[in-house]
Amino acid sequence: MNTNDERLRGLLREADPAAEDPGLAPEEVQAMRRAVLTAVPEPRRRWIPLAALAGSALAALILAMMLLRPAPEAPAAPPLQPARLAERPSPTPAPAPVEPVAVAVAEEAEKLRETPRKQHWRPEPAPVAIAEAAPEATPELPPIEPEVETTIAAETRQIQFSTPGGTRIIWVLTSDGASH
Amino acid sequence: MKKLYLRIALPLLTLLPGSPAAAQLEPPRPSIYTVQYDIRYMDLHAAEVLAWDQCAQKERCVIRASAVSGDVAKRGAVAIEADNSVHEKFARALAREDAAPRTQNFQLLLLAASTKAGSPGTEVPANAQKALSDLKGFLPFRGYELLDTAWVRATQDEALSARLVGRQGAQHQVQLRFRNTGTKEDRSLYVDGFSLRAEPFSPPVPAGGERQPARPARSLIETAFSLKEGETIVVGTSKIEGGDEALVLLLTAVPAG
Repeated sequence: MNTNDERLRGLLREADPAAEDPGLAPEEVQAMRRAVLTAVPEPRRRWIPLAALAGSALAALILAMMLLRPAPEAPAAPPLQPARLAERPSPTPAPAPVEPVAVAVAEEAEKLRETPRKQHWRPEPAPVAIAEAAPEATPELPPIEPEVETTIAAETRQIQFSTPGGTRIIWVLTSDGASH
Repeated sequence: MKKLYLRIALPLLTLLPGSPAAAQLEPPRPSIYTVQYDIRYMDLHAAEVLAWDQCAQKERCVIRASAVSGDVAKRGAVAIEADNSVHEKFARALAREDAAPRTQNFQLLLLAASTKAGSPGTEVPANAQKALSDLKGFLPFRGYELLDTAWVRATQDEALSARLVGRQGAQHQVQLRFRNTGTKEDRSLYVDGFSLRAEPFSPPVPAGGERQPARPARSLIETAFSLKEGETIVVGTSKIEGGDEALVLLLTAVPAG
């Protein structure tokens, strides 16, 4: 046991001016804590809702522009014929290439973050459209082969159908120049 | 007394299980074995169905059909695992159904269809009247003229060739080949090769007219279709030689008998 340490400890206790102070009351402690916590707002917390709002606005804008763009033209349906069983269809046209979509600049969100304390800030003008490279046209799908079909050559077409009386008819259409 | 007991006990001993006499009284259990039958002319599916028809107790039979390619002597084989009675029944049925290839009579009618109402030509046979009336009510042609008829008999899996004469003596060759796809009750067939071909033709020079250029041989129709016995199918092509006439062929699978 170190008697020097004990003696020093005793001297410090005797000289402590707050040794007999009972301390702050619990109510005072709570009031002080409230004052400290509400005194200075955290600068970063204020702009999280604004950034989230800007991001959701951008996403809504992009979604609306994608939905409202004109759809590509659908291929024309073949003309209706009575009691047709099978016919070789013409090749379907290639779908129209996708148009470039205007994309809002992400820097707008950054600009909003950079001006947190401005009281009279104006929203940025319309987002700058960035023209993207037109995507490649989707490859043409091969024509759907009918279930019952026999072709003679590239210049002939064959149609198979039944009459209302039940007689089956196979008709061959020739499209060479000599026949027409 | 002892002799009486022996007279009673001896017959009873013969009926005990395991005794030779008892074995002779019990009916012999049928032995099950596998035999593979070659199918030469029948449709394999029809042969498999024929095998199942001979088996009274389906759970005691195992039947498998397999096709054979590259062998002109047979189409395939049916393997049957069953008892003697089933083998005997199937052998008799197969000898009856697979003895010879199927033959079929066909009637060919070559008609010229025109959009102009022409004079009535030769009347078509009665069995083709229904098909012709269906044709008149469906296609836009107003006049039909019978150009030529043919009656042929074809054997399954063998090509048949016939010749029909059209306008101004133009020759047309018809080729067809069929295979049996039906059973004894369902007499259906499949024509897997049917063609109509115009042969080289030099039109006759009309009086005071100019010589028409010779027409080369060309294929008019090539198709395949199923057909039932007694059914008439119509095969046609339009725009023949640049004119307004269409060539129509009525093919009938004439029922036997």
